[in-house]
Amino acid sequence: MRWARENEVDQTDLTATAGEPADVPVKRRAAARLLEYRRGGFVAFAPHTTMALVDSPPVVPVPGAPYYCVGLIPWQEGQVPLLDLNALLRAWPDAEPAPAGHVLVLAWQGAPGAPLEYGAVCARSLVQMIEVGDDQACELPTDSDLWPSIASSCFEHQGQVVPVVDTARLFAELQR
Amino acid sequence: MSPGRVRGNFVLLRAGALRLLLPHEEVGAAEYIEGVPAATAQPGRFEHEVLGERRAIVALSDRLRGLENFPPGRFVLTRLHGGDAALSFAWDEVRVLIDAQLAPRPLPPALRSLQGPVDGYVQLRGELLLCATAPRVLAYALGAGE
Repeated sequence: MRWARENEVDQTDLTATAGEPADVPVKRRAAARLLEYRRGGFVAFAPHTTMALVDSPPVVPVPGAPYYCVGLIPWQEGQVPLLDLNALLRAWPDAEPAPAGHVLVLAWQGAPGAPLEYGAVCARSLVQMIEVGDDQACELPTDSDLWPSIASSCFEHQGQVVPVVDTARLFAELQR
Repeated sequence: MSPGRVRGNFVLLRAGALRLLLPHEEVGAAEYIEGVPAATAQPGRFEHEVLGERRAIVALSDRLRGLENFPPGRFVLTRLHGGDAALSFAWDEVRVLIDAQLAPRPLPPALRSLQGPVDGYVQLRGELLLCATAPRVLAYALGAGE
């Protein structure tokens, strides 16, 4: 399942309606893709960074790769790394490794003008598209030291705290 | 990703889902065994008689770790140069690629580690081969890579 069409537009800064009077407070709304990275735990990604949801891709494990890397999966003409976000955030391999049933392929630019780079993360369930408003903003969770490094913001959604992961920062963090 | 091309002789070593690609000169000749090697007192080490010689054998997982039970179908042995010359490794398949032209790509940075034995990968006729060298495979598989 590819999302090329909606990826053509950056939807991270959507405002409610064009043409409203300037003195009326505008409730900003933005679209986000919601991904279950562990049972009952969610993160969100800006839609323009999400390329496709792939079902059950063939995964080739890479000996010696960091514990949070599941392996390589095919994408376009090459292979991209598949990450288990839960293992990364816990800083420990999961006793119940994420199945590679659903995989979200992400794209980012390492620097302005640089070519797109790709990676993927495991999803425990189907990825959902949701809308988020400014009034849902909240503090980052404290269950992992990594959140401030990889998340740009956080919001509450249906009683859950959902960090918004910055894809470029996530993969930059792994290259340090 | 614009891969450079390399040309030469290589050996494909398969252990389960893992397909390693090593330079030909770093891999000893393939030897075929009959029967299942016997376990030894050392976990992950087996032994078997090959051409009248008692051979110490290791069978690796697809994560390049020694298996405690000898897997069925591992009937091809090779030695790897750069390590214990008496130790043989059991593989599901050993394939020599003669004068192969390959386009290796670097491993994505997220998958790299200092101890990891894999440098890159090659896609060849629908297979994904992981590029490595015998000394690094030996160091990692025999524990020095932990």
